[in-house]
Amino acid sequence: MRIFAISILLGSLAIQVKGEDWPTYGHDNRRSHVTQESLSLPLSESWVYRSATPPQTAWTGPAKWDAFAGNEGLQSMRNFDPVFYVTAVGDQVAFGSSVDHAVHLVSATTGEEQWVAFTDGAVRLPPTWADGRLYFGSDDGHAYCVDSESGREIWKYRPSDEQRLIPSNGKLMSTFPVRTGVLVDGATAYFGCSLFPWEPSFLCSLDVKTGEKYFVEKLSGVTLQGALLASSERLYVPQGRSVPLVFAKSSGSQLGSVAGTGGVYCILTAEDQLIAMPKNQKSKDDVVTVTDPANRESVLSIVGTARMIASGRNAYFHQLGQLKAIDRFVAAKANQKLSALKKAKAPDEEIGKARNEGEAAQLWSSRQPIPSALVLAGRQLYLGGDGQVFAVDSESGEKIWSAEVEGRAYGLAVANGRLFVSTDRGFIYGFSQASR
Amino acid sequence: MGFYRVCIAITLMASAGVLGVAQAEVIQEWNFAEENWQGTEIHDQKSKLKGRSQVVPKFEDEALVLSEECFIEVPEITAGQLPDKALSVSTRVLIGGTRRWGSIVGFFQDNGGFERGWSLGYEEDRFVFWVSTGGRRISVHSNQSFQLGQWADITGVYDGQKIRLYVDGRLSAEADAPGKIVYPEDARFVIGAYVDKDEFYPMQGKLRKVTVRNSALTESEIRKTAGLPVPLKFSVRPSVRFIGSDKARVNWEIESASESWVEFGKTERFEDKAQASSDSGRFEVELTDLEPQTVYYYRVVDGDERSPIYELNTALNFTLPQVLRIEAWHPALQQSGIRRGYAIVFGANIELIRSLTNQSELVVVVFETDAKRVGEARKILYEEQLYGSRVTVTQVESLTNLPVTSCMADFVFCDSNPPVEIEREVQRILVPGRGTAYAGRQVFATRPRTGESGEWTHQYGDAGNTASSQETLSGARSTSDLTVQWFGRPGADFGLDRNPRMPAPLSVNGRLYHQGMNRLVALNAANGAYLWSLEIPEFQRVNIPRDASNWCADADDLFVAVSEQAWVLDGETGERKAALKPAVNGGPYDWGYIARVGDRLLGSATKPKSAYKDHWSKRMWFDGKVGSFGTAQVCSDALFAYDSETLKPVWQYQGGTILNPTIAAIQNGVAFVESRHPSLRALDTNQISAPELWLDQYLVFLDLETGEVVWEHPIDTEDGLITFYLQATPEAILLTASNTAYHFYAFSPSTGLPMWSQSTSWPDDNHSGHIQHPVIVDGAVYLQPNGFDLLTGKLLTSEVGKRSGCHTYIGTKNALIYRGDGREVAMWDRESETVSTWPRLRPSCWLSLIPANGMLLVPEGGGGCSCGGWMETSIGFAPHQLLKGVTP
Repeated sequence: MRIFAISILLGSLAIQVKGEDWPTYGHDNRRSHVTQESLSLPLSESWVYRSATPPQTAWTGPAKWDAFAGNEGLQSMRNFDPVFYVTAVGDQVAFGSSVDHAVHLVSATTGEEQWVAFTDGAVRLPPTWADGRLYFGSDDGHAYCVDSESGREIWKYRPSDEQRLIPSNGKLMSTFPVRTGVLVDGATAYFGCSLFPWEPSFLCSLDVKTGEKYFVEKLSGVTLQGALLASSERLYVPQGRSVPLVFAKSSGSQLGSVAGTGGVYCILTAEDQLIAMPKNQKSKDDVVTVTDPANRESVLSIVGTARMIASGRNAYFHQLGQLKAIDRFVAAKANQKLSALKKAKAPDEEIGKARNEGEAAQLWSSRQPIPSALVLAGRQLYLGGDGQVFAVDSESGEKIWSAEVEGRAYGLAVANGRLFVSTDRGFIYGFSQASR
Repeated sequence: MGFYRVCIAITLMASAGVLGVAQAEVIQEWNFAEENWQGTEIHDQKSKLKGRSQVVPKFEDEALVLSEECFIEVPEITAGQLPDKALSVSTRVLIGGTRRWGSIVGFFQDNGGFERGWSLGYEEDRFVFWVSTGGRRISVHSNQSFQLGQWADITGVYDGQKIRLYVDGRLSAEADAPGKIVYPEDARFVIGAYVDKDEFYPMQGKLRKVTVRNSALTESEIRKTAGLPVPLKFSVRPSVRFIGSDKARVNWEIESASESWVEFGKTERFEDKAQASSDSGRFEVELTDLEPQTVYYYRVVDGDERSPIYELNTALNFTLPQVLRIEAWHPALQQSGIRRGYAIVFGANIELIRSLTNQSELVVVVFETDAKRVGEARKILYEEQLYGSRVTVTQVESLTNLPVTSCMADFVFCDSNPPVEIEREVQRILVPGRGTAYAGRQVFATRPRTGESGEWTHQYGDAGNTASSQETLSGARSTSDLTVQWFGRPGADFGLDRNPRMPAPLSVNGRLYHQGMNRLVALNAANGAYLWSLEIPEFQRVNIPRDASNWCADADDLFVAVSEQAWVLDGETGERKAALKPAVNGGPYDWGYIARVGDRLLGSATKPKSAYKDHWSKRMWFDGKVGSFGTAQVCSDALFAYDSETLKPVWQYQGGTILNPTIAAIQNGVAFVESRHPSLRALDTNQISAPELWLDQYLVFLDLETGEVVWEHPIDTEDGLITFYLQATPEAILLTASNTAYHFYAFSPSTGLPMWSQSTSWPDDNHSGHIQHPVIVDGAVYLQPNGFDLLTGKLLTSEVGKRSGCHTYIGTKNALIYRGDGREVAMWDRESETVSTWPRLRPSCWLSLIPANGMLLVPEGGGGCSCGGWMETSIGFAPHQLLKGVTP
């Protein structure tokens, strides 16, 4: 791997923007993909990291089609590692690599590499920063804690005694890989070790400082994969091709699952509602669902979309060629009313009225390409697409900036005056605000 | 009766002057590209007729996306303005979803008793063109089903005498239709939907253009006007091999060509062209700078002739990142001949690691006890862009207890002769039958093949179709006796679909072969390492229960039937050694059945296009009952043999019409059932549902060496209207017919005389319950839920584990493996009659699990199912016992 610093530096970046870190996958433990920080546009490319080999994903793409049922355009439900996602704190950016099995720390300003910490397996999700340390998992079956200044290992932990590595796609790996990332919540680090449903899996809770065990729950019949999420009391664990599971943070006891959902694109709203997709791989059910895990009821489902984020009352998503903003509470209420009316076989007029109420939830729509990544930074929406990244005003839907990138941009992070873009060709771009 | 509920506002344009039956041949020319639309309106480019959609159209692939609301009506056109003596109507269309019928373009009224006008459309999975000459409509249906989601050029032609339908520039169907086209007085000219006064059936799909002419085009004119190529005649059809992370090589042969090239690109516009090099009609070209995870389209061109357009998906490129700095060969590597797989290196010797990575496609795994040397090696290899993708360095406390599974190393290297403790560890990790360990330049350890491991060389295990191997799985009787030895590619994107009952994987001599969608891959069975793959357009074959598989293998080679040939491929490298044709009189023929037994390569000759190839829709599940689509048997007109050493033809047999699923060979001969009814020979296809197939039947046994008839007997069994299988062992030949139940007939292999017969009920009448293939293992024959003594027919058990789902059973020495409760892969212990399963592991809808090479090999075959949380990955399971055992 090598860093290519391209047109580095934009002089002293004397831009007065309130900076904010992006310390974990999706910005926070709810994976909101929302930061309060807005960037001054336009942005310009400061540096590019390019891996000689594109990301080596854990799983292949989905089948070409379901020929039996006549479904085309099937969706992947396990694409948690299509790019080298980044996290960023201060003037440093970190990412894990499925190619070279390492975590890398680079300068956010120049892209210059500061250290590399190797593991014995692919690192599929980015490290989490907390108090000068980085936490991450590896396909070698360990969770790691390293010093953010040096990359020096502080502790590592493997819940299984099994040390046997097996071949997989030209690599060796544990049969209990850490493919959930490491979620840090206060003094506790959480992660899962899991691969096959017929083998045991482990949900682990450790002391962030020492790596000592709080609890290790041995589970059966599950496949923990994709970034963990946390509310104040609960852990949410995606399973890819099965429903997300819910655990008590304090004990690791299983509290059930979130039925009617699936996939690894999961976001926990401030109200502890789970946005998740896809619930299955059918293209015609290209649905993002918002579920209230408390009562397991679907609050809202948006057909024809693959990405949604929520902030305050608003939700943003792309549907049928249009980027849209809605008042999600109004939409949810209308959705529930509509469901009830349909169930009660209400007259068409009443159903039509409820539909209209749902449509009234829309704040704006704007014709935009389908995004593979979507984040909200202040009042700017950033979207990653095929060969491009662009920004849209979140209050009007107007496109306000764009840039070309190599590959499809699945990873976006905004931190401390910069936008970082990760693509499926193994590129990471650092974009900076122009100097004034 | 349907209803017409679409309200279309039309802006009329006075264009009578350009209407009427124009003098010019083209009277309408519609190009539906986005730039030709103004809102909801479009004009044809010839006569400036105005068409309108109900809604603002959407566009994909430079085409109009059709829907319930988006189709085009041209109200200016009346019956009198359309040709009645001669007509050609052409379109480039993609059908996106099936309906019972639909119209792509037409002007008609059709309500059963009153049929007037014409339509170019589709019915279920066939294109259809019909005209009315005053009476009931006269229809022709395409002779092949279309593929949903694929573009096609369709032309309907009427010349006053005949009606013809052309698909992609080739005549597909024709019928007599003398007279003139008679039009209804009140009808609508509609493109992209079936609309008449009474009915409205919208169309799901895409449309690029429609052209209407007032003359009857010939086939060559159709090709020329549509820009369709003259079909290219290959002497060996093309195949593609990935030869690097961004490169692929295309090979083909054309007898008379002096130059030829490949057009390719990300769209069917072919942005690139690559000139081929040739050697006596053998062409080869490299496609370079291919982007990862990208679908390309390509075709072979020779002058005016062009091949069909093929697809190439670089997501299926499994080659490792290569470093092309060839230095002097490392002696051990050169000596070993090992180029792919896993290399384990004891000690972080940088120069050695560089040699191994640069001179081979090995994955190099280095174990080192010294932390400093580990750090230094990682740093160097990282800077050289080798780390992770080709080589890893792991620190271990001791080299005598490496953290890797057993039986996984193809190549082991130590700087010098290791102490006995390390040698023991080397023995543990070597792949049985393949792995070699070097100390410097000297071999110091190999590991013999496990004595009781089996092979799966043919569709049902062996050429006798027993559906079992001699595999003991080291005594495994339960899923808990096995563990994952490797997993990964190929995944779900490799395959065609789990549904259409594809050929089984094969495994022999340490290799695993697996088929996908017009592609195949060879893996190291012990560790899943990629060896080679080939993309072979037109390789596909489905509905194997009514046919024979399209491939088989021996220890050295893989034999694949590709349309009219069989290719002999080197098992280790995939290089083609020969392309053989059916060695029979007459023809033309496709290569049907294929088997490798004794010193013979057997083949059968089937009439072209007799094999099932379509895979789209529920019909292609081939799960129907008597009379249903897909129950027609694929047959052959002849059987022949090549000498497997010289690859020269040695004999041919031409008697009756041979049912392919009944061809079964053992060491001294080949058995089959044929019908000698004369009417079958006259059929233009060997996919036969005619009742005569079940008349005049003979069970025949030929000498394998000479092809001479050893014995033959007329048989009169229950008709195998659903399936009809033959299995051969030295002890008995077993015929199993399924119609409303299963009927077994056992015959002596030495005389052909009956031994016993038996009938049993189906366990189910769906999900393969009625088409199960029996398993013969150790003198017993199993068919859910029963086991019988092969020699006597005596019932042995009725407790065979319950099947659930569309798989069929396969046998090991100790167990049957199948799709069991929960539709998960299950294992039934023959001794204890207990069942164990692997949760969320799904096989294909026929046979995709094979016990061989000491393992249970489960290449991915279940992908595509929208249901369930299946793992969708390939897995090699190894017995715990095998992984524990070390051969000294």
